[in-house]
Amino acid sequence: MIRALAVALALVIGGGVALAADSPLAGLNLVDRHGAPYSGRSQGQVTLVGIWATWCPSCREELPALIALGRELEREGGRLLLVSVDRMPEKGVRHLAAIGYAGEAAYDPGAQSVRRLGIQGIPTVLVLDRSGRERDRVVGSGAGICARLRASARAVIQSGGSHGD
Amino acid sequence: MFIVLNIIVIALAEAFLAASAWAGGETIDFRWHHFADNQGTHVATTSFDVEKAWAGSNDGRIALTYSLDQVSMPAIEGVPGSQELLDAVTTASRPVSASYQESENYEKQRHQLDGALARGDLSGTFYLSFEEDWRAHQVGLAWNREVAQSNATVGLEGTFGWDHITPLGEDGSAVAEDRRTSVSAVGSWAQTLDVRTQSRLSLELGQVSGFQGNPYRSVRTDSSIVAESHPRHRLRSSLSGEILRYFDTRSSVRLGYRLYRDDWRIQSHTGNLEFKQVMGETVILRYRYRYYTQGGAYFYRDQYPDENGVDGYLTSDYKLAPLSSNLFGVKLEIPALDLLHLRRVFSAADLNLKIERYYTSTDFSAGIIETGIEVGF
Amino acid sequence: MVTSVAMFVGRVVRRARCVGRAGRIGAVLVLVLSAGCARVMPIEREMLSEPVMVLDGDPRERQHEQHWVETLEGSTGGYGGAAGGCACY
Repeated sequence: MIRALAVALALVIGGGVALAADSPLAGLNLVDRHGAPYSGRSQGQVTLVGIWATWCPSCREELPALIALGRELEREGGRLLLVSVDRMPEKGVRHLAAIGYAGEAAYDPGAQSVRRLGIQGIPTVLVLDRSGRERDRVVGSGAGICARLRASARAVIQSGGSHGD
Repeated sequence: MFIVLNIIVIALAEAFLAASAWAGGETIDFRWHHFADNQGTHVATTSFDVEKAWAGSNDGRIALTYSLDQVSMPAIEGVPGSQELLDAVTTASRPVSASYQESENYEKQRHQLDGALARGDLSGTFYLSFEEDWRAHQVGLAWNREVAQSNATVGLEGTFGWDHITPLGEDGSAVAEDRRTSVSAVGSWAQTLDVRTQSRLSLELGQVSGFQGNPYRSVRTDSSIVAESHPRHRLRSSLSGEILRYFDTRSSVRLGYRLYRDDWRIQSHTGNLEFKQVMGETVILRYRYRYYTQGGAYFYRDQYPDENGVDGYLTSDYKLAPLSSNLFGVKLEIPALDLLHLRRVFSAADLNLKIERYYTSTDFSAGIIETGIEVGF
Repeated sequence: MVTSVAMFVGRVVRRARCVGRAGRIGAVLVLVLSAGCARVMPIEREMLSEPVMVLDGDPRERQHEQHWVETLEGSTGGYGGAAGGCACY
């Protein structure tokens, strides 16, 4: 009992579950809105990572639906992280403020990091399991994209995807 | 009256577009264009353009445009049909009487209706132009496809036009009749060169058959005044290229060149230089310079000894003579949604203002002003 | 219309020297341009999507200028063809 409490306390102090070494987010040089290294960590949640940019019209059209899906999945233990690849992060900051988004956001100026994940186009949404491993990748916009993301995220949530899965 | 006419046309267009199949996003563009040259000619053009997207699809659209040219030329004395009495701006040809009163300006209108229907890679266009002595029609078909992850765009376009010319006599009735047809084809290749550079190459071929002059123009020879006579066939070709490069100051530079040749042995060179700069967050300022130079048609002479001309052809059309021209000016494009507090009414609103100056080596010069607003729903 | 198109094609073939030279120059330029260019991924197109990088410009302005310029100068055309898209998915 005491050991379990100690482990839990260590996790809380440590700021969350460590990402698996093969997680797409491990090693990415993301920054926050102030340009400092992004320090957001998974709390052992299934994560949708939405990669977008203000200069991409289909990304701007898709964002509201993706944000609504993120709120829906939060109730089921998921989370949404938006990663803007604008060369000037302040463009992404302004756009998110304009559409009323106050959730998690990170920035990869010029897409220097996300390209290492083999991402060639946007919008792209990665579905990561509880240890940060990629379980699905949905590319593009339009009818059916959100439904597919919802189904994929729920499948990962229900499978309890984490270490060893 | 002309504003009423414009409103009626737009209302008709809106009624046509109200069908549910066209219930996508819509834009309306209104322009006012004024051309004034150093010979006292003024041409004011108003145009309305309505464009609507196909419902549920991002690749279908329809566009309709109505334009009205109002030409005003100062009356001057001169020999009927001579060059100095000709309106060279709008294809509005000008009947002139030797007894024309100096105190009256010559007024004329030209109506133009054109449109386009596009879906996927294909688009069709039509063009109609009406003035009291000239009716012009044209239809076109175009195919454009992006390839290589949108790094290149290939395009092919063809047009066919036919004109009906009925020059008017002093009493305003038609005194003759003639026709003209034209066929053209354009092939183009737009290529992304790197992350900040684009280019485009185009080849255009065209043929014009039939009447190709001005029905009111005469030519002075050493011994008499005779009607102008041009060849009834003309084969034209042009090759043009341009390159557009982005700079980190949120600006771009465009360089363009066109080579033109035809079988009237006119060869011309056109060079374009354009600089665009984003001011603040969204205002765009454009500086532009265009240089043009051409050789003359093989049958052009400053003076003809007799009515036989060159191979039977005579012209007093100065644009078939060797000449050069310069065009330069500025244009501002201003997003106006917040500036004019239009966000509650429109989804987009853009203002534009252009001022340019044009002058040629033949002592002709003109000032061009254009302004307009485009709104989106 | 069919007769006019046929005449046009016939004249083009007969005037092959005039057309062919421009066509050969054009073909060489296409090969040079496409050989010298890099493949830009959609995620790299930010600068190309800037409003100052629109290749087609303002079609209404271009059409009007073409109209009055052709009444003052002896040649026509040269206003380009299609341009590229945003490569958005």
